Amino acid sequence: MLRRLSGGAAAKWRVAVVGSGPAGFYTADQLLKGDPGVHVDIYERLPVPFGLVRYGVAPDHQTVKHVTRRFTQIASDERCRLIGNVSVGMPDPSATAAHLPLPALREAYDGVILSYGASADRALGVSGEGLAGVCSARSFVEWYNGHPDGEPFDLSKVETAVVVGNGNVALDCARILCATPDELQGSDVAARAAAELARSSVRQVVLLGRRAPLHAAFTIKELRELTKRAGCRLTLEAEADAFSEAVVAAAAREGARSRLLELMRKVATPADGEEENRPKTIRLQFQRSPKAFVPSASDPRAVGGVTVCRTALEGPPSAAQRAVEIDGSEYELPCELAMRSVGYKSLPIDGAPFDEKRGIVPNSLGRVAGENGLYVAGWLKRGPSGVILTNVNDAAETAASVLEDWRAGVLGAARGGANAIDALLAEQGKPIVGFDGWRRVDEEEVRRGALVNKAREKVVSKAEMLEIAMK
Amino acid sequence: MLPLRVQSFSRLLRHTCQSAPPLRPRLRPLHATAARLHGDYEWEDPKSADEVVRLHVVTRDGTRREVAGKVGDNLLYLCHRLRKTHPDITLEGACEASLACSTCHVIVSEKYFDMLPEPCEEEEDMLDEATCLTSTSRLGCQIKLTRALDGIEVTLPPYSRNYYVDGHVPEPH
Ligand SMILES: Cc1cc2nc3c(=O)[nH]c(=O)nc-3n(C[C@H](O)[C@H](O)[C@H](O)COP(=O)(O)OP(=O)(O)OC[C@H]3O[C@@H](n4cnc5c(N)ncnc54)[C@H](O)[C@@H]3O)c2cc1C
Ligand code: FES
Repeated sequence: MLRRLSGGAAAKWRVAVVGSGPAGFYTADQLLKGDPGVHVDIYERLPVPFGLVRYGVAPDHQTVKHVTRRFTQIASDERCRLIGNVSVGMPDPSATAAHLPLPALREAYDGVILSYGASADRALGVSGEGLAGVCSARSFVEWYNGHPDGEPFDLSKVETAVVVGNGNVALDCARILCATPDELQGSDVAARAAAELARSSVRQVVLLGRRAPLHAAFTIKELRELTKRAGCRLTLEAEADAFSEAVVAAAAREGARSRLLELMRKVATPADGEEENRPKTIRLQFQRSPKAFVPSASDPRAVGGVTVCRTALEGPPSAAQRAVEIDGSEYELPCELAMRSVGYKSLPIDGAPFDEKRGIVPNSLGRVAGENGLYVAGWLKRGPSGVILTNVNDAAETAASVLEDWRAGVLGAARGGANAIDALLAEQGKPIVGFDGWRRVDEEEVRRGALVNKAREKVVSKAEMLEIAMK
Repeated sequence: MLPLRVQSFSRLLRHTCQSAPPLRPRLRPLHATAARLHGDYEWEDPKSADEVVRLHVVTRDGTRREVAGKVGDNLLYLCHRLRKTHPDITLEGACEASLACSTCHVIVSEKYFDMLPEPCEEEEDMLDEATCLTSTSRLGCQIKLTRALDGIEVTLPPYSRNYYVDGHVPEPH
């Protein structure tokens, strides 16, 4: 079972981290490096660690997932434990995981760091969002990444898929929707998704951006990747002035955007001879906003199209420009699948303050406002945007606050101690997965993957994960 | 149309950190293949004195450290080794030198920056995502120490508390 608190005598103080994504691991790392007397327990709701590195980052981006080796190294520290299959602050709806109330954790540890990420998604708030075939990018991502809560997708009747949104997640979804089996070799795409994608009838994916290329939220690396796909053409449709000198100058004021804008301009104006017939097309369309999802003529419960409204931009080109819808410009874009990719969203847990409007736990340099000994890191701290790098910076900041408070004597000695938590967990009789358990799942996945030319074959059901982990 | 000059001066304009070295324009990158090193080599000690390459690392809080590596060392993995003796030399390498993150971003002093081989397109793309980007920014995992680089100064960009100081507010990822 769980590794005992090793060097218990050496541990002068104890910190609990809630969530084992990049924010949790990087914060743990900074603490362990920053003080030889600290012991860190990382709690995770799922039986397996790594958060969105496992369940967000695309399966064909294995090099991004290399960071899990770094996390493994952090977890190998004697003063660090993973405590998986334990949900903090909210009971697990599937009743698979044990549950620990936040106050109990705060009793038992000198400090608690919330880094449980963003487990819901934002809605568009337009009509027809409840139709079959309208979904969040998040559910699609979870499906192809083998998340245990992922819902099934049927791509056999989809010719056109619409993705509302303009970030890297939207590009990920488009790329996976158009991926050939060859392009998924060596990935860790879930078996269910690989099978469905192989029989998919998708011919085009249309991405709708409310504003202009200047405002696109995706990064150049993700876009460039789409320009290099063998089986898929990339087109870009924007207003005539989308690459005007004023726009170029605005992009230059923002540094890193110049090269991205230039790449988009190239995509928008394909060289002669690039009209060849590739089976699939990804179309980036700008200054369009979805007004409603409309039912299909043959099945009133399923989506048949999106009513799209064109937009105009206010004022001179700048990052802050706003888009306003143009009255009477609506048209219908037929589609059989529509995804909104307008952001992940964090949820509150019992016992911690939450800013509903910003979707974060309010904090200053990672210290939760008005709560001694409670901290926050990652997407929960600053909102659901940014890459793994951002979490490194951010974890450093939160860990620095924790260390500062410990040294200043602000953190009280833990009252309940480890035993109180052990008792609470034992009472519930749920399997608790330590890092050793995860290693067994990991090895099994890699073994299965090798048989089918994949980096790993993910175990999808929690029951099976637990069975392997607890062997 | 995008005038090409604006583009090649782009990095000039994305200076976002106060402590960064002064700005200067730079040329378009040439394409080159990325070095992929494993990280074991950096743990070997230099075999002779003329293999030693001295370097100055300015840490995230601005402290200057005089340290040494050897010819052929990858700067990222060398920093991992150096961290054993200098805990404030913190350079992540999240993607293990695969050009898929920018956690190994460093700022190179101007004189030595010019001696480095041009970055490849993938490196330029990843640099665009780095915080505190300057005109002499590079990815540490793409820098290989040579004799000529003896005395090189590299600055680890401060852990930024404000990720989009340039005013670009990205839509949620
Ligand atoms: C689709 C997608 C693709 C991405 N691709 C890239 C990419 O290619 N490159 C890149 O650099 N970044 C990428 N990112 C961004 C990156 O994944 C995030 O920046 C990062 O994962 C955020 O880290 P976090 O630790 O805050 O949250 P998370 O990674 O979400 O981790 C939170 C963890 O907390 C757990 N948890 C939730 N609730 C509880 C609870 N009550 N109790 C205990 N545990 C709980 C969750 O199960 C999860 O494991 C991508 C993001 C998404 C969504
Ligand atoms: S380590 Fe990822 S780009 Fe250098």
